[in-house]
Amino acid sequence: MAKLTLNNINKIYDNGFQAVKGVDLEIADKEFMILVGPSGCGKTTTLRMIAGLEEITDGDLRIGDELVNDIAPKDRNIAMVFQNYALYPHMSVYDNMAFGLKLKKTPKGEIKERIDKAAKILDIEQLLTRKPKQLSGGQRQRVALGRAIVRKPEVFLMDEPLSNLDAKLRIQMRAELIRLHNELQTTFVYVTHDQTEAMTMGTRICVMNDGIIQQVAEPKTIYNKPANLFVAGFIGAPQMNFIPAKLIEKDGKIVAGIDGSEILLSTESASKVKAGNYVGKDVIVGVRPENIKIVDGDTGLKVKVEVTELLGSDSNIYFTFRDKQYIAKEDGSIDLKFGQEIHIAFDNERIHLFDKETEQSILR
Amino acid sequence: MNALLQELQLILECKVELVGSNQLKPNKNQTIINGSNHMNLLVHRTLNPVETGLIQRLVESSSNLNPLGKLNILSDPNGYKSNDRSFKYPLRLWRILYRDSKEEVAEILKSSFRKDDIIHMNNNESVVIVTTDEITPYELLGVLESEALTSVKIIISSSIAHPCDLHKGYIDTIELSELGKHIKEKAQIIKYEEMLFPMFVSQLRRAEGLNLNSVAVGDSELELTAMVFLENNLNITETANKLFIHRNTLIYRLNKLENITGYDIRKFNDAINYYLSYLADQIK
Ligand SMILES: Nc1ncnc2c1ncn2[C@@H]1O[C@H](COP(=O)(O)OP(=O)(O)OP(=O)(O)O)[C@@H](O)[C@H]1O
Ligand SMILES: [Mg+2]
Repeated sequence: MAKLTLNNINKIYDNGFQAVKGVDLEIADKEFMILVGPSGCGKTTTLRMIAGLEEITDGDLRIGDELVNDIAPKDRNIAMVFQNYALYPHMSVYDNMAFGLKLKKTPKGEIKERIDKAAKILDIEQLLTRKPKQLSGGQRQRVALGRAIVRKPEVFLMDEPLSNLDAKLRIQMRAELIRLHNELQTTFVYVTHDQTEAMTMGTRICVMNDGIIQQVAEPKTIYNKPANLFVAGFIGAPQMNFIPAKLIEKDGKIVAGIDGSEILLSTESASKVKAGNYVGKDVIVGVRPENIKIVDGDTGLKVKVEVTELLGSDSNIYFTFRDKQYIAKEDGSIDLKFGQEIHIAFDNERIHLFDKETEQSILR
Repeated sequence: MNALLQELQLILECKVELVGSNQLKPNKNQTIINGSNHMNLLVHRTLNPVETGLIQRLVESSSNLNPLGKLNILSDPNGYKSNDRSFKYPLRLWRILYRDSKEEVAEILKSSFRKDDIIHMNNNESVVIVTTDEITPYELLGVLESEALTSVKIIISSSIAHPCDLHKGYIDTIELSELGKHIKEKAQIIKYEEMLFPMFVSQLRRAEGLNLNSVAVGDSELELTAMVFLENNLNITETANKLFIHRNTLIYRLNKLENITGYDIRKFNDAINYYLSYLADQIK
């Protein structure tokens, strides 16, 4: 059992800087939890506090049911994997994997057993006698994982382990890590600043900004129901469009008034707007590029095309509306000219609304 | 080492001296005890096997941590003179600081470097004399943190070409880690070369010859923005991405910084001037 519980965790560094602020997070046994957020938001700090490499300034950390704040890292039954492969250049793969166990004075026979098993899982059995220099980047990363696996930890802690690999290998290794997680049935905590990685790998995602947790949820919830403006903007590429608007009641329906144009909200959204007393208030409308469609003239908003990016299966269309730039993503190759006027409409089932002051979602 | 020699002379009741590796064939009334580091003891009498074994163990245990005055070459400006072990020059000192797990750290260092090149200063600090690029500091850091499970910092001296600079090189690393606390808090690896400006400013400061106008703007967000901008080679796009802000926001902040400090850090000269003044503010 290796549930992890972070209870009101704070970190203030020696220079007085508070990197982590009141983090509450429960990571279930066998979960694949992703910590994601922009540079400097406190991901690494949080992970290192879980590992015990960084002291916890305030709050309780539990592994299973045990309070581990004051337990040395080596007694926490965790394993770390970093972005540097961290292999001994002069030792064989086998010896690299054996090293930590030798340090812990594990009997030889058991070391061999564990390495054989890990090597099999990672498909590196034929590499055991090689030196790290004779391996490819992906193979080295596997060995680094192997070193963690042979420890038989209750929790794997990974800090951007794939960020040194090239794009193709990174995609391969993502799949590999997902498979590994299934096979090992152990708790993973995985730090990344890459939202694609976050969306594709985790069972749940914890989005952080400025040392504060913004939202913890399954990937599709994070995408479809972002809790606030920050999460909405951070997850998704190209980014969600944000447009200031005023919510108005018209013939019993709710519309978002944008500079004279009106966008009808779905009935579900409308009832939440009413319930939250937002009628008549200024808000921010959020709409993802793929939820904007080009429509025939006369309907929708009239906008001006700036640039189109042809991506093969789809196209990004950058357009301006009232002097501000936005993006739409359309299926297929659509080649539009600079300055061309088009009409667009939003998928009103997929419009997001945020409080202008608190930046929290109104539709949750 | 001298203390050990004295102790041995008392125990054995005869003269004991230190000799180099392949020197000297003992005569009938002398015994050679082989120590580590190519250093041997010449004992001026014949010893029985029990005595030999005993002395051997004594020498080993005292040399295990700090063989033959190794510590001296770093801590004493003249230490190099009494040290006749030769290193390959040029070399660099890696000063490794760790919170705990000393045994594991020692074990890892031993498997990554020649035993002779490792000097354990105390329970939280070891220095390695590095002459190869077989392992990078990043790899070592990774190995230490993931295997010894302790938080680690590595400070790397400038390239040292002569034994008489060993001491200064070591003192530099101490200054580097102090400076690092002010201007590179986050960095776990600090290299001399990356810290030239800060060293420069701090040394001028100490000589009290430096009197720069403060560029403190009393806005930590603005100062962080400036630093990230400098670290990203004055590249607007990269900086904006790093900070996850819109490029217009970045430009707005840079303008604001210029209004307050007078420096437009998009320009190389202004960037340098701002950076120096900023360092002077940080290093007090
Ligand atoms: N030892 C330290 N002393 C002071 N401040 C620190 C220290 N380590 C990190 N910080 C600061 O704490 C904040 C969080 O840092 P952290 O490394 O946790 O961020 P991160 O989310 O992992 O970012 P990245 O994506 O860049 O790795 C940053 O502002 C950083 O500058
Ligand atoms: Mg990080």
